[in-house]
Amino acid sequence: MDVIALGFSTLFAPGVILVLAVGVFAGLIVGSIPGINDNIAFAMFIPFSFAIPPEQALALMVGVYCAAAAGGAIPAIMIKVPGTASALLTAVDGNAMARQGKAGKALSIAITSSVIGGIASSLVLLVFAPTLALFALRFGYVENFALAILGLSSVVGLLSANVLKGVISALIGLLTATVGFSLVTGYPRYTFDSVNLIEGIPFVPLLVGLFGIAAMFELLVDIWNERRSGKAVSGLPLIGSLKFGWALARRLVPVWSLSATIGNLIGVLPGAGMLMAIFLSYDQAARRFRRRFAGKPGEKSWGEGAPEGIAAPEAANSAVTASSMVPLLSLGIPGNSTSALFIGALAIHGMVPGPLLFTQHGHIAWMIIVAFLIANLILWPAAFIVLKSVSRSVFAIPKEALVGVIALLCLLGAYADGANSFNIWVALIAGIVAYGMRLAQIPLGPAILGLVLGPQLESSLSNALSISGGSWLIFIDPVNHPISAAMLALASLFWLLAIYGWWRQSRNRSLATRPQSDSSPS
Amino acid sequence: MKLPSDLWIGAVLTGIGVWALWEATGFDDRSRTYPMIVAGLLAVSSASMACLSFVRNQEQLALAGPLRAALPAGGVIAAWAAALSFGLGFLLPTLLMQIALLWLGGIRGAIRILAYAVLITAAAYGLFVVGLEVPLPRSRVPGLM
Repeated sequence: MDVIALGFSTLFAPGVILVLAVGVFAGLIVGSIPGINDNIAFAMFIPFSFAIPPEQALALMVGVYCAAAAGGAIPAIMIKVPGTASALLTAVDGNAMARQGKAGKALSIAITSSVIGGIASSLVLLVFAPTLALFALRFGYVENFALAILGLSSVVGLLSANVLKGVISALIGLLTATVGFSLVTGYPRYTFDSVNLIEGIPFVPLLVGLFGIAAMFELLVDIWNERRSGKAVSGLPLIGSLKFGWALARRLVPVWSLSATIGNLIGVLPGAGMLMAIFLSYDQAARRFRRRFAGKPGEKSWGEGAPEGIAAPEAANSAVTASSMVPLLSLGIPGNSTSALFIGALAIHGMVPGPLLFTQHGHIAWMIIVAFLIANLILWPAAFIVLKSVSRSVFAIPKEALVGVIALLCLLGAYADGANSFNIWVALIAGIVAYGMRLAQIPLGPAILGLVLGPQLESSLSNALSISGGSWLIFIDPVNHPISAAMLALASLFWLLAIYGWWRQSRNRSLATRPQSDSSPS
Repeated sequence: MKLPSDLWIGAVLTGIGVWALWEATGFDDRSRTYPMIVAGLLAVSSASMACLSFVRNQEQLALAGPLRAALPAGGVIAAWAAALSFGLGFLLPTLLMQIALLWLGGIRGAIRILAYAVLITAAAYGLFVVGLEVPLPRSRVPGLM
């Protein structure tokens, strides 16, 4: 309890709580701009962390992170353009309800669901992160190596669509992480005699480029494609009353509970991502809706304004936000790409996520945890203020003008990390590489994980092999290192499942194309 | 314009992997093992991706959008970064970069573009230089910030 009180006392210092509230409002506004996803919103705010104390900087980031995911529902409902990828499915029933003249009700369900999912995940973070971190403190070199392998395997294993591309992405990240002085001997590697590369590729500009600059390129190409197809955005529906009755709230309780549980379970898995949680919970909500409400008088069809279709994805995506911080804060492994950006925010203030964060910067670690809870409590009134006051002005910002804003904020943010022009080039090249990877359908997540885990993987491997006299069997020794053996067994399982999924998909594809090729003239 | 993505990207990444592997052979004994393993695995995985593209239906890489929209934007940012590095100050290169990016983004009308560019540049200057006190690269041109 003392440590939780420490977190609250750090958070409730006047400047810190104020900055958290600013982060929530800013995240809501930025998240509700179509085309700005959670990652861009976060990357845009990283530069602000340079000039303020770490407590305030991280409170700002927590506010932005929680609110940007929730804010994405606003344009999804109002104009059927999800502000963030997390609001992809909210757009279906949400916009249908808005077009029926119930935009206020749809927005209210979305915000309330986000708050409920967010509070549930904050509690998961509060309980599990410190416990897991305490356990992780007992890890030695052997266990740290196994943990890094498990982290990489979990993300690669979840990409059953193309395991090989997931592996390539992770290897790109791991190779990039070797640039600079060797952690073992101090030998300079891949530095091209440049002093700027001696300590490795600067991490903050790299992240800003991978997310922000790549997103700017995507936005430009989207605009180019839209202009070619002559797509136009239809007029805004009226928001109207934001109330929804107790009867509907009682009806949504099971959906909120199940979606928040799914979001929390998936959020704590490194690399699983928000989309998987959203689709799973949406599917569960659809089954329940069809079983209980479909066809009844006064009920809309699924996809045509069902309240469960808004509540499920919103509760799930907000449940992922804080729970994805569990592996990051406790083990140093990011739960998703946005929480990976959190590493950059911590790095700016000389902090490294993982068990040592709780021992070396306990007040900060606990403040981050309780900040998630408070941010979600602030989110509810803040969202209604934003809806009533600034939403319409936000939609009026031309998408085209955002290109320059995102580029300049990200580039200056990269430059501000050490006031070095070299960082601008790093951000630009990282943006080009990330955009190229997107085009080639090589996922970015494993590369980020490779970048983050690379140094830990190399140093723990080297030290563990020194202890064992070069024997690799030390990692699977069930007597002296049972945790390592168990983690590596779990990692193997992830690989087997991924390879099986990939093989099954390939077989289904070939079976699907066989009749066509059989029937084609020879 | 379209390219078979896996073949070309696999070939490029194989090249990078082989180069990194060769470069790592010049490191000292204890520093070379790990990068050699990673580079070797990258080369093998990428070569596998390129080879698999022959036996599977190849996905085509649509390059028209990236070439017409993203590539010029990358060029504009590179020119801006070069201008900052050469000491042309912050305000003029940033204003020009914004004008170019807004035009590439599809905004038309000289006054509209100029108004947006001035607004964004001034806001960024106020935020980073005045607010966050980030020291800008030195200008070699007298009187040009």
